[in-house]
Amino acid sequence: MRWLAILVLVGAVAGVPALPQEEEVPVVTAVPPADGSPAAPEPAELWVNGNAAYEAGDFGRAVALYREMREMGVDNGHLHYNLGNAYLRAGELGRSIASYRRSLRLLPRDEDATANLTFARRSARDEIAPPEPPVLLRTVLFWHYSLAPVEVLRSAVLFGLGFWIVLAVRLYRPASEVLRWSAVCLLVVGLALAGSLVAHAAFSSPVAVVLPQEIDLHAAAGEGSVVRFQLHAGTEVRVVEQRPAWIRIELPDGERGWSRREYLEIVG
Amino acid sequence: MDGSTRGWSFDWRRAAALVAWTCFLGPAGAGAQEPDRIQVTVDRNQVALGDQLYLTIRIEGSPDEPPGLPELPDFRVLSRGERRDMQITNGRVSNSTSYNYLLIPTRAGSFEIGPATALIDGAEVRSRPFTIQVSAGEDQSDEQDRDLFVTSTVSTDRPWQGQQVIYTWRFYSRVPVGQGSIESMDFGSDVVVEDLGEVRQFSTSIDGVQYSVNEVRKALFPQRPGELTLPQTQLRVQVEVEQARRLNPRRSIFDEFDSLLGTGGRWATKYLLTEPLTLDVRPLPPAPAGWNGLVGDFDIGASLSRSELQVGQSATLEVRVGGSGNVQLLTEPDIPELPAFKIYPDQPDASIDRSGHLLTGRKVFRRALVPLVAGPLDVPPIDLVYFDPELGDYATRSTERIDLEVTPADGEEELMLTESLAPTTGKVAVRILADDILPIRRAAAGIASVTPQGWRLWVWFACGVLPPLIYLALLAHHRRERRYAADRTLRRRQRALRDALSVARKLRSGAGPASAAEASRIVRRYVGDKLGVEGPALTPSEAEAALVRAGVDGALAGRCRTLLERLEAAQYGLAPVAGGGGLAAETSTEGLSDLIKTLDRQLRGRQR
Repeated sequence: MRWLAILVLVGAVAGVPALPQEEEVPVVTAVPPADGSPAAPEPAELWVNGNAAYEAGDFGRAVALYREMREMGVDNGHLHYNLGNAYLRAGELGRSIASYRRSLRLLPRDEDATANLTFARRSARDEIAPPEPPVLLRTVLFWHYSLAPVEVLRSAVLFGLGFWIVLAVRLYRPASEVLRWSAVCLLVVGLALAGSLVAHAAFSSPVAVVLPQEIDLHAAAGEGSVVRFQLHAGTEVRVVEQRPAWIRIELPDGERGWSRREYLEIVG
Repeated sequence: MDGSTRGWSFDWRRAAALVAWTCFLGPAGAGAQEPDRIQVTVDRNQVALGDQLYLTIRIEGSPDEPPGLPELPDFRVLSRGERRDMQITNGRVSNSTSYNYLLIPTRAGSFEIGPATALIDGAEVRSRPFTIQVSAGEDQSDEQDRDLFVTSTVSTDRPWQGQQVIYTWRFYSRVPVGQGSIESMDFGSDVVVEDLGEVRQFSTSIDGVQYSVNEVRKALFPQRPGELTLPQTQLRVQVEVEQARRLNPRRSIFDEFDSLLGTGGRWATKYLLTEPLTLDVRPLPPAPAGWNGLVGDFDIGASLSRSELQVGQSATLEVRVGGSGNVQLLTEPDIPELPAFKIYPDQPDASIDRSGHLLTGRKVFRRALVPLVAGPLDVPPIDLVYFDPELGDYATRSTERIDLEVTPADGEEELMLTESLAPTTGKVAVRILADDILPIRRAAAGIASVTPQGWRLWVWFACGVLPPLIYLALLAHHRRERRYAADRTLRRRQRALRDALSVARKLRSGAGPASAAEASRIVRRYVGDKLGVEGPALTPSEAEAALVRAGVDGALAGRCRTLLERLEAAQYGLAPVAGGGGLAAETSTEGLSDLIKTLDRQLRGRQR
């Protein structure tokens, strides 16, 4: 039984991914297959070529290559950050802000992404504060807003692992107060971490970013409805209701309106 | 004698009941051999307008899907849930499902309730149709003669698109009523609705009859042209039906308590419906430039806080827009270009008044104007375009031109609006000349996915799932060890059979004192382990006595003693093993295993 516990611990430590390293990725050259058909590009190749296209000022191609990486299942804060830069250079303010927001969700302590998001927001025309969770919530659930979801999940798993280990040791040292309180603390922290993830998934409302230069917000879900107000590219609003073709949004002052779904990009 | 008489007396009531059962229930029972698998029943088939009736669809067995209701265009239908029943009659289980509905007639007349349908075991079954009579009610003919009624009206039935329509709903009553609630006042997505104040309560007299009135007002804004139907509004209200008892002059003190606690009298639920209303919404004509959706009666005004100021000083321009109509769409009007000013916008003030008879609102937009040049300047008129339903056309209202006199700044100080000076050192603060985004990332981390994949995913999964399982296994092991520690013979008892069979399997075949001694040791050790005594020290008689005390029957214990005695004799050469009355067979692996297993079964049975 003990060897199994040790094996799990070693595996857990080995499973923690290495911290982002700043080394350059070597230039990758695709080797065509023997039958002559075009080779499917690897993510590393797309990454290098996307960066090269960005440096060369071909921002449209950079966007296409980064997006191809995403379609291949690559999902990380650095990719969203670069995608945000490429969108911004290509003049797509709304998509750029949406990408920076995704980047910050995955890398919440990334100062570069924060700076670029602030820069992009300055270009938005509407004077509307982006929707943010209340200060009280951010203070109480500080870990949730300073850690990426996957970090919270891994922390919850590790705290859970620690809890079970302490509980197992306590079988043989039942009188130990240190073990008792350690188990309680590990359980509380683990539940808080996992609970904040569940609560966020269940109760938080998504945010949408306006994509076109100008969109009409209708009083009802239909083109024939009266246009209540207009929003401009890059404005971030809270989503209150979603239909297949229409999305209802709410401004910080409580005003609500319906927009066609294709005019907004929803960020989780 | 009395007892004998009672014993033979003819109980004519029982006999009559038996005859009745035979005559009436008997045939009914025969007919019930093929019952309707779907039955539709109502609690009554004659109602008055304003009353309601309960309809139940009962289906024998489990339907594949909810039943299809018959066409009921003259009733409002409200589902009241379903119920499943199970009956056991003469050992036969039958179940049924009942679907309950509340029907509220919307007009008087005689209505045939068509068949309800259901799908049972793939076959469609239909109920029998029946008729319901809905009377207009004794007071239906004349509105003012009724005790309770509701009305709904609109301020105009031919509004323009976006025009404010006041919808007024009233509930008139001249009898005591209890709790009431409006169950449906839904105007659909084609109408934007704004509440106009709280529910108003007042009294009114209709042809000399005093009524208590509850009034609800809403401002409706039709969003599309064409015909719009405002659906019926339904009120559910509790009405006291036993007024006579409560008006009795000789009411007791208990009636007072009833009144205090609200438990006296009987209350009935009434449903009152308004008539549906239709709006013929007129489309708006093509809009002129500058119109932002306002429909109603609006006005605009503007003022400047100062009419004389110096270059660099600021004055507040206040633009006030307000009126009645769709005030949610009030936005800042287009302010003409003011190249001679630097402009700083301010937060607007908005207020919407829902307390009056109309929805009115007002917004005040403010801007700080800082003149950049000296001389006579002006703020040109600001236009507000809106659609006036009274005129049936668009109208424009404008502010007056505002003149102001700007004089040069004192001391000819250069205006530097974007720089700030440190007050103590006089040094110029750093100016950000330009800004740009930070460069892209090139690190290898851009290729990896955040979510673990491959074997790492399995490691994380194992970290989440395995620890509780491992802990449970450890817990079970720990508890077993504690039990062994508390009862030292427990481990021997639990392992006795396994150990004995294990050694018996290795028993040397053949005859001779050695194998007899080994077989004897196996049996003694098993008995000793199982009974918690020192096995090798047991004599055959002691082993028999111990087994009998432990609950083994005497024959088996005797067989065990005999075997041990014969094995002792063979061990010391007093009797041969081979051919010794089947001793060889009994001391074989199979023979010993059989004996030990038989002993173990009996001992385990007794221990339980």
